[in-house]
Amino acid sequence: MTVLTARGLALQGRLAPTNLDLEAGTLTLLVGPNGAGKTSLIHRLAGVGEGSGTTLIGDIPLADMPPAIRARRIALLPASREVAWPLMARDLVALGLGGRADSEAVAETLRSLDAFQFADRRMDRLSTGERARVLLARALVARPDVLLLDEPAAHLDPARQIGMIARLREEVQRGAAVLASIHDLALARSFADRVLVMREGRIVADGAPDSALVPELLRSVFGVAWQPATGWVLA
Amino acid sequence: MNRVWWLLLTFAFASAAAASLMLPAAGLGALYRSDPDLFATILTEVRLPRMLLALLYGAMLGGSGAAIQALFANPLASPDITGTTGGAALGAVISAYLIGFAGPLGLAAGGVTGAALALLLLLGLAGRQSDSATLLLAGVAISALAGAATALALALAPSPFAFYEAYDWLMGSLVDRSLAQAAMVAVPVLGALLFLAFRAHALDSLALGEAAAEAMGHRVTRLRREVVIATAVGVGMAVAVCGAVGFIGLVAPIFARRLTRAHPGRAILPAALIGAILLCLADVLVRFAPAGRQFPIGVVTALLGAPFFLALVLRMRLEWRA
Repeated sequence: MTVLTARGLALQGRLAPTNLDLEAGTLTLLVGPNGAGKTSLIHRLAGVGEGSGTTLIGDIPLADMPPAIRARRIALLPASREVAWPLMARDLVALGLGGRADSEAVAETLRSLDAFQFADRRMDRLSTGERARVLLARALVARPDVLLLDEPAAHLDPARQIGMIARLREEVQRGAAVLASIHDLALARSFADRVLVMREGRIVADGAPDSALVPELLRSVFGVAWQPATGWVLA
Repeated sequence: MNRVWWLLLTFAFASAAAASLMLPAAGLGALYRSDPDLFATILTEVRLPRMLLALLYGAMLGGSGAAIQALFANPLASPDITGTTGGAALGAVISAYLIGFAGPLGLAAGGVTGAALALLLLLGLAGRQSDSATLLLAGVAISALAGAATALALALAPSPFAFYEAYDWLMGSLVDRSLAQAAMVAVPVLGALLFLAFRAHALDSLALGEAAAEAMGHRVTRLRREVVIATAVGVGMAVAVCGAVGFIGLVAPIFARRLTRAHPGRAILPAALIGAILLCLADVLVRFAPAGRQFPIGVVTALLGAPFFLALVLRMRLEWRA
């Protein structure tokens, strides 16, 4: 079932006009070199910043949704891990509830990301990786139908990257549509239901990991060779 | 913020208001016995407007300081440091001297316009989510510009008497204001504060960055415009009546955020209460100056606030180094 329908998403110089549908219960991973337009696509999907195009959740335009409803339908995790104020981790996650108070949901989400132990610590006293997990918890806490995550694996160690992907698979299990940009093609190949490859503001491949992550295409997109068995190869 | 803190703040607010009405108390009792009518007149026509203006102006500075800090995601932003009060003072002086529009409404219109122009200039110069250095530099530049232009306008004052009157007002003064003037400030200040308080949740969300806040359905561009307009109207009106008062808008939100566990938007109402208490107490302090002398209240808040500001800068420097 399609939960998100986006038409004509574009941003001058960054993103060519793009249509995209996201299905419920699928993990879509977005790969591409720096500057390929991944962040622009994610931001346009969330209706954030400059650019054009429309995003519908179900059949309601995102722009028409009041904040309280939007929090339950869609969440965006921006790439930045900076937080301006010394909020406690628990309070920061609660901001994701869109004004509702639900301390049980906050605790549960932090626990699921192995971050509950610093629930009562200030964000500016956490390491970048710890902050990354708290910020991801903020995006997950309202259990939205659509999750748009800009590099959720950045700053995480390998075990926590796997843990994070496993956590995203749980979201998919309950029926969410998850789109995340990621640089690790091996993770994308192992865990994605669908892979989008971007280059120069366009989606150049879209499909199951085996059909999208083909060595010839990846060599032309990234400029270096990649093999499923060995990873990146100097060529 | 929990209920105990609300109670304490409300109690402090009421105490400051009572102190403003009753202090200095020397001679009040005797006056009440000898001439109850004069006693009533002093309370209602001298001390009451002064108390109301101190509470309103302090609340506006505290509340708008919290809102501006939340908007810029920066604890160093405040109406005075960003040049908003300076812009309002310039606007009022220009309105009075150059256009010759010295009536209360002319001053108020000048103050609001000056404050709005200063804030818009700041937004243009410093950008949206500015780092502390850019924001401070832009604020310093705007304050310097407004200060120089105000000095120029004063130099062109039509008479020495007008010069001294304007100078006195610029230093900030709550003396000799009428109930009508207090009422004129009350409407825009209370309106602006209420308006800002309703944006508390959206301003809290800005802690996550503009993109996340927008994705949560908060219209950040509109929010920015709303905060600028509300601050310009409230601060501009207050400056037009009471002159420029510094540092309350910087200090009050910092205390307030300690009570709201660092939530920047939720701090607006507590910051307004704390600002009102601080300015009211500063105004009471001014009255105990040696006989025959009047200390401008703006000088008192600056003398008390500047060391606090320096301590804040020092702490930030230490935290950046760590």
